[in-house]
Amino acid sequence: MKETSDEEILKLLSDDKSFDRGFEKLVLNYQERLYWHIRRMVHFHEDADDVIQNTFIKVFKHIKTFKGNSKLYTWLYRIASNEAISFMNKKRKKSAVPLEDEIRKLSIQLISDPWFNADKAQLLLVQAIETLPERQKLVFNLRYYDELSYEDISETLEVSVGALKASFHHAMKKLENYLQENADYV
Amino acid sequence: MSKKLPDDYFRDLPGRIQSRIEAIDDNMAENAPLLASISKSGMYRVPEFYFTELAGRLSHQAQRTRNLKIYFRRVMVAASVLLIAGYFYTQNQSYPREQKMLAESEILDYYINHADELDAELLSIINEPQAGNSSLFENFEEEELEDYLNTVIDDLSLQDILSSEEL
Repeated sequence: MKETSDEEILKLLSDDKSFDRGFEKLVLNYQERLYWHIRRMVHFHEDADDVIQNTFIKVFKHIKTFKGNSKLYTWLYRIASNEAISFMNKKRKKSAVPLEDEIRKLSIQLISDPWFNADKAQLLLVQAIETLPERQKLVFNLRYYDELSYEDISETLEVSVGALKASFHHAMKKLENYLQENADYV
Repeated sequence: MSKKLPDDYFRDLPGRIQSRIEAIDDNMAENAPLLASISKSGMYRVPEFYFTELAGRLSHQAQRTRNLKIYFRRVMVAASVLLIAGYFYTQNQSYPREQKMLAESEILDYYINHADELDAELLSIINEPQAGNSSLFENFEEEELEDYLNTVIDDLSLQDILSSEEL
């Protein structure tokens, strides 16, 4: 099915009569991309399902305030990222355990999760990514997995391209070190 | 012993930092070979037809959110009308204090004695069907209403309420 352009979606959304059709097109265009972005942040399907719904409800409530100063999809990524981060923060507040224990607990839960299909190396990478600070993790995921350009990430996170490049580089080095130190487990 | 810096050191520093940042590339194979060797795909799975079903659920939820907004706007408009009417009624009484207090207690008595009628009237305003919006009366879950109150209602100013299309 042909993807509807952002211009077309925004045009539909700007008119009350075609708003619902516009929102439907927006969901169809972006649900998968945003879902996978969220899923990599929260890991579990049930959690990702909650967060993607909250994301789109927020989009629905605020789409009329979108002024077109940024690209539609960077605006959507920003909302999805914020929703995923606030979900994780709430979850962490509830558990309040040290990072190492948290990562160990996460690994055990993931191994028994029927929707998690990673091999040992991929699981080790998930653990490594979890050691990164929230912002660095987000930059890494957006660049490495979502393959967004630095310019688009800069628009999404409102951080300069230079700072993003440095952040990605540090993240990459930290992950590589973690993988080297724990390679025996693979 | 004082250490000397080259002339214009600090003037050139930002430019030099910037060019080093520009030189950073994300060539995985070279910079992080272990990371580059790990497959990016196939880590997570979703239930069959998940995305088809998700689109439907999201449209339904968007509709419910819209209905909740209308529902609360109506409740707030009705409550505001009652409050404003009550306020003006008591303020416009030019009775002495004792009599004014009596007037306020009369309103209260009136409300107590006519509570059912007033509530029915209020409910009829709230429940008045909107053209082409028959699903407005679906029962909202308590959690859903609470969530709505905690989020959207904060965004509504008095101006929004008074200029609401539903008025």
